[in-house]
Amino acid sequence: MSRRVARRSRALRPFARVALVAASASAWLLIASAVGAQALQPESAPRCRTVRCVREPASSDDDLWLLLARAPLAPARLLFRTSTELLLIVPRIEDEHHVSRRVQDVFFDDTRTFGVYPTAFYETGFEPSVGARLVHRDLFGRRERLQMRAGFGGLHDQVYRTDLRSGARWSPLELSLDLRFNWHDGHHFYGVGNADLSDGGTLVAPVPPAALAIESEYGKQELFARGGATLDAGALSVGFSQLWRRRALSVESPEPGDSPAVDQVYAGESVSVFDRPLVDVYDELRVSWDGQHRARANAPSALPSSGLKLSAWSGIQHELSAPRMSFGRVGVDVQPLADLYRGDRVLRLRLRTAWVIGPIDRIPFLDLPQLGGASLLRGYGGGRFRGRGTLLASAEYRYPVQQNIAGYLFVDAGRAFVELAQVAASALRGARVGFGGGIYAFTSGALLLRVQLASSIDGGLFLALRLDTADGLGDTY
Amino acid sequence: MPIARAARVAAARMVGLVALASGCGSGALGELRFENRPPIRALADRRPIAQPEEHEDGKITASAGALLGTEPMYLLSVPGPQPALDVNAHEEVPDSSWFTNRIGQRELGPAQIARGPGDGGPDRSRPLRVLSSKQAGTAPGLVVEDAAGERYFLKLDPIWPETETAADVVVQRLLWAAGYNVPDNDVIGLARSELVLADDATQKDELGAKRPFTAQALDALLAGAPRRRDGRYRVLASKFLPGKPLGGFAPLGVRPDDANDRIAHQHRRTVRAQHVFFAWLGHTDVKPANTLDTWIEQPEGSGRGYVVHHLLDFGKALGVWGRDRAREADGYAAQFDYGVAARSLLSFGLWRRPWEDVRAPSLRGVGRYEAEHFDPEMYSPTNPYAPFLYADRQDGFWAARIIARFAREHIAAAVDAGRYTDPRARDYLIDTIVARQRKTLRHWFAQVAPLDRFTVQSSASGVRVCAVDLALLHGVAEAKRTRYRAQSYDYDGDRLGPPRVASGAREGAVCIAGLPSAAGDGETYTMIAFEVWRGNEALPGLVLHLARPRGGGALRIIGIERS
Repeated sequence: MSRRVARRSRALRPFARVALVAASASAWLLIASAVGAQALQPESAPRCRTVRCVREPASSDDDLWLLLARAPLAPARLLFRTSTELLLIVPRIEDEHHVSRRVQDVFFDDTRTFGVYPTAFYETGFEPSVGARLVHRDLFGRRERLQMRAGFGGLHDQVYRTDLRSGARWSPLELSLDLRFNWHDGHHFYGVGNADLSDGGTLVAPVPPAALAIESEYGKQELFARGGATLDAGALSVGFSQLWRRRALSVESPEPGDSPAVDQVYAGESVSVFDRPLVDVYDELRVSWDGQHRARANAPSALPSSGLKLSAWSGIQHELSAPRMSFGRVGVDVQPLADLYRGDRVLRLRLRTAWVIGPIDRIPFLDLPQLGGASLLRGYGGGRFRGRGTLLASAEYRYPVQQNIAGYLFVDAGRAFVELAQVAASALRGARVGFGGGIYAFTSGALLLRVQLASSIDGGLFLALRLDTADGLGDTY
Repeated sequence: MPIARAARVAAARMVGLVALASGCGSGALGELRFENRPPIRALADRRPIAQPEEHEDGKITASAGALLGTEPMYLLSVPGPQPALDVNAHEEVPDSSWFTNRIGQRELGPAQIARGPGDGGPDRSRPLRVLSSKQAGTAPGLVVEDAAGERYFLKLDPIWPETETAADVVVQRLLWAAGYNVPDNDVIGLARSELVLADDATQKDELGAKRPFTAQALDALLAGAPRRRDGRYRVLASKFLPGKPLGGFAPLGVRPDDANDRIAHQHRRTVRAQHVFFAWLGHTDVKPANTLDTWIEQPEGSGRGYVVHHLLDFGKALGVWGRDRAREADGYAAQFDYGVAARSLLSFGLWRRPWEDVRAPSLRGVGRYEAEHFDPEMYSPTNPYAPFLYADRQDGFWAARIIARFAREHIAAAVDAGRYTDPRARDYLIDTIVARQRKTLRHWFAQVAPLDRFTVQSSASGVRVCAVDLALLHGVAEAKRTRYRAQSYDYDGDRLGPPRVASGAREGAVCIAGLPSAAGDGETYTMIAFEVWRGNEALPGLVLHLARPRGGGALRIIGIERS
């Protein structure tokens, strides 16, 4: 290109830019006017009123005010209309091609005893997890049940589960077999006790307890198999189970900003579990009374309205990996429900305590009873408080929002104890209090979705979302 | 009141207030003037057109669209007051392909209501030929052909005996008597031997694939159906509507290929005011799929015809849907109601929702339908229906006037057509429909000046106007607290003489005499503004427009303007 042409091009560049902007703006104004004018028109405005023949003015001052009110909303109307049309693509496809029916034919059988369902789970502190659950409710004709589940939440966040039950085959006795593998890297340990959270720094604290709780991380790969037998007599059931478990714990050098690894913060025999897999066997006897029932036929069984649920357990855990040791577990969980009004304003109270019996300085830290997470002492991270024993009191109020949606509010109070003697001395002193609320979405047969937002007197905000709550509302020891 | 309609009323009041405050509003009498001609009594909307295209949104699309978009789009459009456009100068709806004025306008006694629009059901001089199973809707059923070659849907009660079959017929009779186009429905008892499968009878599965309809399949379908004491199956026989089906009519806009459909449906009183009838009768299954346009070819074979607009499927009315525990808000709130959800969520369950104390009577065939908790303003269909959001109090008054014409005997005749086997159910329904009728009248007659049946006489001493106060006539207002005031105006809105007053009478008749009329020899256009006072509260007034016919004659009413 010659210098003259190049100079002219450079000189013209700003004008070209302005011309382009002006052209774009004009086009936009034209389009906006046309769209706005269209949006301002009432639907199918008739040109003349042929039924009621009047000699009325062409417009009135009221029309002007309405025009002024409508004009700014024209883009919103267009946007909303476009969004609605996009959302309606899915139901249009369903109406045209009956997609859900075709999917059901693939993934479900005619009697609906077999099906595949999606699952999703999110809790603050964990990566979101999605997966699927396969259920067969009547394997051999006596309501034998098979359930298989797989979930993925990232490269190092997986869960696989198979659960087999004998159903009514040997009723009132039911046998069960539960196989699981899960792998998660982002578990947290905060020391033992009820201490306040601190930054920690390079402090290495002994476990059990230090005066401070420091957030540290570890990973866990777990494989377990549990077999059990339960005898049902109406609301009363007595069950015995044996659990075989292999756990491989890992720690990694933290990135800047990450929490330190457990072994960088804590010392002691109970945290010396990262150099070899833990293998243990746990035998448990559990007695349960489930007198809860629904007051309304259109509520799922996971949302009862009244009655009492009580559970007590006792077990022995034998560590098979070195150093060999054994310790005991006991616990009680009482949940009375009070139907306040019509079966859909319900108050659920809960009192739960869980303990280990044995040398606390030798029991692996992750086997200690714990509080925190989406179910036990909500408003705190999972496993925030561990100790020889935990005590939890909870009050939850559930109320109706829509036809298949309920809201709930809760207050949880609890603490961990290093020694039993602490309970008599200071059962409520230093109790941690979490509070919050959430939404349940359900059908008459199942609880579909739970969304929960929780906080506590120590601050923080915790969100939990669970799609497919076939396992109930979730719990752990 | 649904949240969108409440917002519209509030917005309209705000606009009015702002206009008034700015001094830009129109004067008290307004600028409306009528053409000096008799009101139109029948519309010429049966001009021949080619057959329009059949169109219908799928069931899920229609429901999703209604739930997602109806109320938000309505609010975003900032709707102002929009009077109905299918009314004549007397605020009446002329006869048309949408509506035919019946009760109160034509001779319609209880016997006619009991018979309904049809001939009493299919011709059973020979067994009915079963052509297919019924695919549309939720109630199981069959498509059959009778001895005369007419086709019928036969519907069975899917869950609770007698409920849907009876409700469909009772509501069909009442809506037909009111003036709507409805199918010819009858409850009949059918023996299994009266059903014969056609050789090519088919049934469709849920994916729409056809397969042969066998005798076993027919017996399986009938197995769950309730039977009468004589062993016959109780079925609802609904005759196919005449003409070619085109699908339901859209809630908004017009049918683009129907040149006779010139008024947007949301601006039709016949559509908007349905919410008053439906509230009265507990009909909540309101959606385009429960309407049907049919094209009547006339003359046959000409390829030209006109469209008639029908309402269908009233089986969920009279609280039948509310018997389902999962639908306890039936009639009070939509399946998903933004207002109810917000109020419930934020009140933490302390808000006692209107339907929580409503109980279904333990009577065979009767749904969750009662009068004690009924509030005409609280009615909501299961899915939002756009025309109801545009309805105003004039639409409500028009519907209430029609509802007022039903005497107890008319209602009893309709209920008897439902053939309830339990006489207590029959009596309960008649009492409840009458009680809800009275609540409907009390509500809507308090929203406007409920004056009707105007007559005018002019003499040397002035104009004498007589009317009937419908609220007093039907005993839903007190005569001793009622006063009327009338003031004459000329064409330009200038007062003519002093106002005249009168007091209420128990029978509702009111006459005000001595009102001046406009002077001159021409049409002498005169306006008379009426006010109705109940105690210290003035109801929204109305203006009678009077004129002499061109060519001379007595003053006559050429228009009624209700505010």
